[in-house]
Amino acid sequence: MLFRPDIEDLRTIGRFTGKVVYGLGFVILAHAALAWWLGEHNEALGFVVGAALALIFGAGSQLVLPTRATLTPSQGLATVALIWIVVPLFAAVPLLLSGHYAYVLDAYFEAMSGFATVGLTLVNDLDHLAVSVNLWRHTLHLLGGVGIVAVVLTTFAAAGGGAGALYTGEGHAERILPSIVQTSRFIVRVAAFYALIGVPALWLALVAAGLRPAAAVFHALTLFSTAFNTAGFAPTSASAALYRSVAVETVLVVLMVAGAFSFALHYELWQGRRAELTRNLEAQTLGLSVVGVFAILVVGLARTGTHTGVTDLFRVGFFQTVSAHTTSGLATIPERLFVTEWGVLAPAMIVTAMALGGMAGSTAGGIKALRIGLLVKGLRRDLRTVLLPEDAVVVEHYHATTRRILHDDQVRGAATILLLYFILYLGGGMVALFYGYELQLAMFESTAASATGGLSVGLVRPELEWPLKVMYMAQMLAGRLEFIALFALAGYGVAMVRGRV
Amino acid sequence: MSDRNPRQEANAAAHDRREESLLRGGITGMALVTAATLGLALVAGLIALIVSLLYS
Repeated sequence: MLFRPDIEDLRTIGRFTGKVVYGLGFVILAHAALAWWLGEHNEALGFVVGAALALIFGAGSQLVLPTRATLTPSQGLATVALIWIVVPLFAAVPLLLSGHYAYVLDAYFEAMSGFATVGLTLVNDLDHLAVSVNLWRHTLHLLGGVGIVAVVLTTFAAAGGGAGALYTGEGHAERILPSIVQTSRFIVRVAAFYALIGVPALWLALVAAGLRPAAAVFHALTLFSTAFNTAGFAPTSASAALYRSVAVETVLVVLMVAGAFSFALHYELWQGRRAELTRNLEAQTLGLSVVGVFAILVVGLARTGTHTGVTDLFRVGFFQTVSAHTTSGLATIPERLFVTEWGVLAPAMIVTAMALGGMAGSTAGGIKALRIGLLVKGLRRDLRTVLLPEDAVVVEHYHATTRRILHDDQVRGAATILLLYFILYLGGGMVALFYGYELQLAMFESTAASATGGLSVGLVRPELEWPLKVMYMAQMLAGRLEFIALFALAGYGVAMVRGRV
Repeated sequence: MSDRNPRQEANAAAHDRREESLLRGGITGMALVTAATLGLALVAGLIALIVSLLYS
């Protein structure tokens, strides 16, 4: 039961939120320096304004809200939700001042989409956006993907007893190493290692595809940020279709898959335990799901005749399937073609793939392979219970780094989250139907926002009705934080009014 | 001749071993992820071949 929050609760939550905003200020300041170095002086000024606001707010919060208290679990959850609402406000300032966003809401939407690693965009004229501002959009993916909380924990290591609450509130499924800070550091290490290999690999592929070396640096950095963080923003309006390169697509697919792997699985693989790839429940579920979705998708494509020939079917179908299933949001075809040329079955598979998503404890969104796997195991156990003699003891096992017994509460928890996601997908779809959009477009965009999928059929655009923009932002937040942190924040709000929840 | 005392030498050696282990771990991990992706691609390629033959 949550009692009416007292001043100490609010002070603790506010102080930790301010600390994260303070850290963000320095990142914005670094981009100001970058913009200045690139000769984008107007944009540099926008970054300076954003940084100043964040630093003043952050520093002010530490002075105005002094407390030595550490976070309790419920405070930590509420703090995470508040961070994800407040931080994009400051991150939106450089975007708004760039002149490429019609409204304040659009810039806030973009910042939220960046942090939540969704990739739905409201930018005007992306192809002429300043390099520094475009890089900023992708930096948001980096911060939101690895987890702004994890980064701050690693850098400041100051969250004390509430570190666990911040970590789980932020959507990380399980502790990989004994200490939360050690786990966060490992996550950052994995991201850094893939960046050290992935960015040069992309750069080489892009240069081979015909880009100038200097331009290839920009594209490599932004594409890496999107692919590994399974995010969604692309450096140009053509997304990955711009390059028409098998090499680029191959590197991107590997990075997207890496991003959709849980960091717990990465840890096992880094220890050389290759058997985990085939024994791990999530790896099995994700692999089977990708293959299953791909099979139905290519049947759909073949029936429409849009893509014929094995090469075309494989290349287009596989990239889009992986992009959707890992909730990365990159595309090698104009996304509008999903509904104009792909028929009905193939786009439905894209929606299905986004809805299912990647692994728990990864940068990917969606319902998550772990929950799907647990539910399937639960169903199998229930079927065996029915079919076997009454006095038979039915025990179902699954493998997730170690062999584990399937418990009722795990199946129940997975089913609860599955239900919440379906409500989110369907609810968002129904609101778009209310505004007169077609069912296919409505469900596609709602799923993309909620599952942080990022692929879009064009419904999300600057001219979109503002209530829908607000709704998609709420869906992005709920999907990224997987509901619990938002419920905690809402609980605090209700408790403040009513006295207790 | 090193200016470090034995304890500092031991710490430095442990640090070097950790760094080497980290690099090896990262390369192993990345290789396994790449292998998994290529494995998925192979299966997908076979499926695409079958479907293209069925619908040709």
